[in-house]
Amino acid sequence: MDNFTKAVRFECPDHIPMQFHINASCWHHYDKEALWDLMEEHKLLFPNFKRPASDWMPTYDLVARADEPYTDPMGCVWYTSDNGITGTVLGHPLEDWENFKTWNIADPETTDGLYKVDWAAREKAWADIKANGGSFRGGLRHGHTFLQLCDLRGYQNLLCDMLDEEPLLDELIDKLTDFNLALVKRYVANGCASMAYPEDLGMQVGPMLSPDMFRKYIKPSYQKIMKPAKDAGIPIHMHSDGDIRTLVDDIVDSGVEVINLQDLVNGIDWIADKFRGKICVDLDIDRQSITPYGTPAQIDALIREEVSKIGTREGGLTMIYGLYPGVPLENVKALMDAMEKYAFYFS
Amino acid sequence: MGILNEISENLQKGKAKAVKELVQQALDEGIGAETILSDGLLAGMSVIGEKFKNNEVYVPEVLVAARAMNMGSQILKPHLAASGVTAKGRVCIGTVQGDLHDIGKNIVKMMLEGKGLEVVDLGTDVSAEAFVNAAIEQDCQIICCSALLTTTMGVMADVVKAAEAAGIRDKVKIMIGGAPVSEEFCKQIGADCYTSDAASAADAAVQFCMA
Repeated sequence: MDNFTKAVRFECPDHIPMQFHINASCWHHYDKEALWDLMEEHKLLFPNFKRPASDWMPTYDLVARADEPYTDPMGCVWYTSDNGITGTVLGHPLEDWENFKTWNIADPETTDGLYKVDWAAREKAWADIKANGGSFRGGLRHGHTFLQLCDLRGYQNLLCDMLDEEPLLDELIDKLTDFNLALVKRYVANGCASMAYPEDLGMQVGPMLSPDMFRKYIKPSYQKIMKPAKDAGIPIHMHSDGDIRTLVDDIVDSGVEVINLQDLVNGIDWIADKFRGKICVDLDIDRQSITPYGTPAQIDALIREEVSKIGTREGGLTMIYGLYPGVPLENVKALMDAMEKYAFYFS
Repeated sequence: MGILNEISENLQKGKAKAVKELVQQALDEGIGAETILSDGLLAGMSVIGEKFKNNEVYVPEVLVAARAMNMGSQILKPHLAASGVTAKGRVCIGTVQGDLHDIGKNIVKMMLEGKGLEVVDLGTDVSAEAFVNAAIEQDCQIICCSALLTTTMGVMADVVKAAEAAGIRDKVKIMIGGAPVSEEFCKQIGADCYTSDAASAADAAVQFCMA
């Protein structure tokens, strides 16, 4: 059993699994050499890092290319203003329900909903990983259900559909559920070690849709698309940004085994009371207040508090940080230091 | 329950069709358009705004209430115009240049309208100059700037500078909001007001317009 699975299953991991993700936009907002120095210094967070050539720049995802609108296989049109920052959908193909008559959902045999995918090549790569004793994680696209509906209809239209009990919405959700289900079955059939279902369901305060709306329209779809992974005993990982406190019981009830949520938005004490020792928390470390504007000492104290309050010797805690431009480099270092230090808090 | 209370109650529940019908019924009963607006529609939005501020309701409830208000307002519009009723103030609003995330901006807009203010929606990705030009051309008392990204919030400082350069800084208040923005940042760039939620923003805007 790998260390991550030990943490998820409360089987005494060697250390708290820590992930530090650097958004692609950082490479033109920071001094690259300085970031690479930090990556070299932090082997636990970046175990396989090899310093690239000095003129290296990332290849940006199609949804994250400034001034290059991208139309995804569902027909949603993405825009961004900064290379590396995932865009937002400004062109909603079903903004007018009239378009539903001629709209076709993307084909799960050729896409993941966001990009074209050569599944045969992917399946070969997964098989190679497994043949070499490794494992791979499966996952739907970020925003597989609720956000996908928002992208197709527009957020406000979608909420009005739910309130008005628009029958076409039920039809659309059925199509989307079938699409996602086909993807999940593929990952499960290929033996993924875990299955991720990332969404964003929360605002800064409160949910993006009411708990009643979630129960009626989204939860049944979640239950269907999580079932194959659940039946296969594969850990189910669910991410959501924002305040999801009023939705979280229903989210967990859908079949989730690892919940990835934001620390300060939901509250460290609330998360600890709710989940400590019961469900594995993949804690999304603050990127709105303490890490961008606090001191290195405050950052250290934050990570210590989170580990001590939410973690246990048996496991049940993993942590992740997403670096975006605007965080002072000394704070980036302080955070990396703290994550590597407190990873061994219970060891 | 009086018809104005009924309008308010239905609006709070987001029942747009009922609000529309009740507004028409109130007009038919001879109630003045201004009274229907203030004691029916705006009264209902005010309750929603307070509940939103106290975390008793959330964005979805605000959104559907605002939709109901808009439908009621459409019926009232010609009657209000005919009787010379004007808005309490005029605000231009948008997300700053480079920022395309408009959910927060749209919620603030709804709250402002719910307080009886006229809103000029400049949309997303609005340059500092466009904010200032709109304020001048549309005679706005307030500019509201929204940002979600740390990489775009700096444009808010440009809006303050552009207002100074255009010579309107003493005539227009600049309000800022969004996830990465803070009171400290507001002071730092010389804006007039930061609020952490949309309902408080609307309250502050009304105060500015009444001053």
